[in-house]
Amino acid sequence: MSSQARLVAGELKRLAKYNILPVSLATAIIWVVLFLFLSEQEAREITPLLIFVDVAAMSILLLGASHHLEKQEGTIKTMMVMPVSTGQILAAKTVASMVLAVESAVPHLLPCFSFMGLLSTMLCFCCLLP
Amino acid sequence: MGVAFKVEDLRFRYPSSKEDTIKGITFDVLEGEVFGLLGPSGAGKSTTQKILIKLLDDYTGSIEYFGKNLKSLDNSFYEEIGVGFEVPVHFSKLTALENMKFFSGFYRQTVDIQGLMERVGLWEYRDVKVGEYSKGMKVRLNFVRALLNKPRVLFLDEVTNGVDPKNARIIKDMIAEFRAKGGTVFLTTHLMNDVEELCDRIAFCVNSRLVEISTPRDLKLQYGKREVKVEYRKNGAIASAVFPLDGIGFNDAFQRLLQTEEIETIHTGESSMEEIFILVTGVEVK
Repeated sequence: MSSQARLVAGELKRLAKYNILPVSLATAIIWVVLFLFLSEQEAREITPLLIFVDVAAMSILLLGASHHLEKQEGTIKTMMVMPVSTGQILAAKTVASMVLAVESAVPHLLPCFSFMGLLSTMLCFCCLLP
Repeated sequence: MGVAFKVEDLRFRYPSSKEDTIKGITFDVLEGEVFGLLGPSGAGKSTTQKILIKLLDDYTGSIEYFGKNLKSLDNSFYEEIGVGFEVPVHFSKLTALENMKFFSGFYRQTVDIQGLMERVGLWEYRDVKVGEYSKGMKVRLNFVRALLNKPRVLFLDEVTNGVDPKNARIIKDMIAEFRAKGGTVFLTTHLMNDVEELCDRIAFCVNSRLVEISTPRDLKLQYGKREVKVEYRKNGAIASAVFPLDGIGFNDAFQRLLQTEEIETIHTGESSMEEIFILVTGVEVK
């Protein structure tokens, strides 16, 4: 496994171990469940806000929490004295953040698709993903 | 014996600081020696170490690593060095073994993790999350991590701080073995026992400058008193007498004391490392 792949795998493993991925998924599911109680018109109105709040803002928030923990633990210092470049570390974090956003976005696809149609849904999500 | 690090007129200033944190220091670290950098907090020890491990590169002066300009080296430099930071740095939600496997995966050559962890008494706790480790266990794991890539040069900061005497002994033995195999160690510590036991040479960093570089033995002689103190028992109480070391073999009073009294201890007057630290730095050892 290359250093880059190993860094990405490490980031994803830590997102899971630090409960960032499960919490993100749970939050997305809560939003989806809430859709069941909305009319089609209400759902159409709330969707852009939902996508921003959950997919974008929550991803940023959870990633921030993950990086804060890393800073507290000082592990970034250890990474900086390994034979990997800063660019590789940043690339791994970027990929991990994309995975987090996708994981949060996918559960929203089903309800959005049901009232917005495939094309609109895909466009909407593609615009918001990092 | 080659020179691992050759540092000349090193100066460094943090962007937010008005004056230099390192004010033109010059020293060599020889290959195969344990070099100790001592000094009070804020003297510039950690900054010097950060520069040597390329975490800070906006310095002036020159640093050569085995004859090559440190600034010209790429990330493969980190294949050759091991760094044990003062504060243990691990992923707390991962187990000790997961941490070690993650870090060792980035190096071309690695050691037997099990062997190292067994040596420091952590193998049986390998599946415990690091967050649940005691401070001493974290420090030992920190030491193991620094050795993962079979480093040529080892940087250790307060390596036995918070470790019980038995495990501190193990760590010190491992450092001595590393040195015996030709490894170079750059040690930063406040623990004078470690300095006395491990260091071939030490440098004192005071107010961002190096004020003394020597061997522990020479420093003890330089700062000590040339005298012999004898403690003996007289009428049930402890008494003592001090004699000049020069000509001690011909000192009649000393000879008579040895022959007539019940001697308890005899000590020459060289200073302890704690006393030298206080004398040189002007700061009490805590």
